[in-house]
Amino acid sequence: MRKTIAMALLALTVSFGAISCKKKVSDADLQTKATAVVTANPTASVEVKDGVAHLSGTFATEEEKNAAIASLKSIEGVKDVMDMATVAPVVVETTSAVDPAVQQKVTDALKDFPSVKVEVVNGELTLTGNASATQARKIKESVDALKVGKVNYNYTVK
Amino acid sequence: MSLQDKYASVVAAAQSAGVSNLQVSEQDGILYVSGNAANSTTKDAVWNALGAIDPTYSASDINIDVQVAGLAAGASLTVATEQSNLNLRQEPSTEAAVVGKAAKGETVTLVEQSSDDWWKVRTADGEEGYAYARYLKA
Repeated sequence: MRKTIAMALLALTVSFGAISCKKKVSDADLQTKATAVVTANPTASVEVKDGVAHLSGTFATEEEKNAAIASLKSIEGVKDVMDMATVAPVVVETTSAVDPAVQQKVTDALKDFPSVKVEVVNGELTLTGNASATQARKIKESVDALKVGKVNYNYTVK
Repeated sequence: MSLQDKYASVVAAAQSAGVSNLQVSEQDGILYVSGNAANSTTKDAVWNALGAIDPTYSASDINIDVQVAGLAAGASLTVATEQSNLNLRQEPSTEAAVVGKAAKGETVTLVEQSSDDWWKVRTADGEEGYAYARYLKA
């Protein structure tokens, strides 16, 4: 009888203990939830250890990575998210996205400014070199008139 | 902040300077402001407004295409090259033969505004040819 009471007390203690530690979700449970978050991105993975989610792999964009981190943090029981994931580098197109004729047009328009070069960088028309503030205005006036879409003005304006 | 808000002062300047056929549209992250100016002063007013926002004129998210249009034949134009002479060409193309030259600051006479890029002009010496419009001030 005494043993039965002891057992009952123990059971009570254990169940109270379980209640008091309700916030403590097992890693296995967290792992299931965390995996569900990351599953949309097959190149990324997550491992939960001691309530901390370790995110690894690659994401297409910074936004997607941040979204995954935010979702992991919102899982109840996840104490922290260790970000070990990377963002895939932007694929540089091997073929120029800029029509050579367009590049020629811009080059023609700027032939009065020998200190400025017209290049295609990462598929975008990019002006490099040096220009004075007065020249910079004339250059933009000339380039804008051609309406060739995005042009990066990466030269140094002195 | 939307591009329209960011460059509201440029659009306002175009309106108050009297740019005609003023069109403002947004495409692929670039605000296009286009229209016709009666003279270079009107065009400059728009560009001055951009300069107040972007002093180095390096913004990639706005495209201002306000051109001096509707000039009558016989209008006086000033050659506004950087340093060099302005080439007058046989045809409206940089490939065409140079038929004459106009010095920086020289006044030439408009024959016709053949296109947005090329205007046919006549120098005081009677040389006639196509000049790149960006280097002519009305």
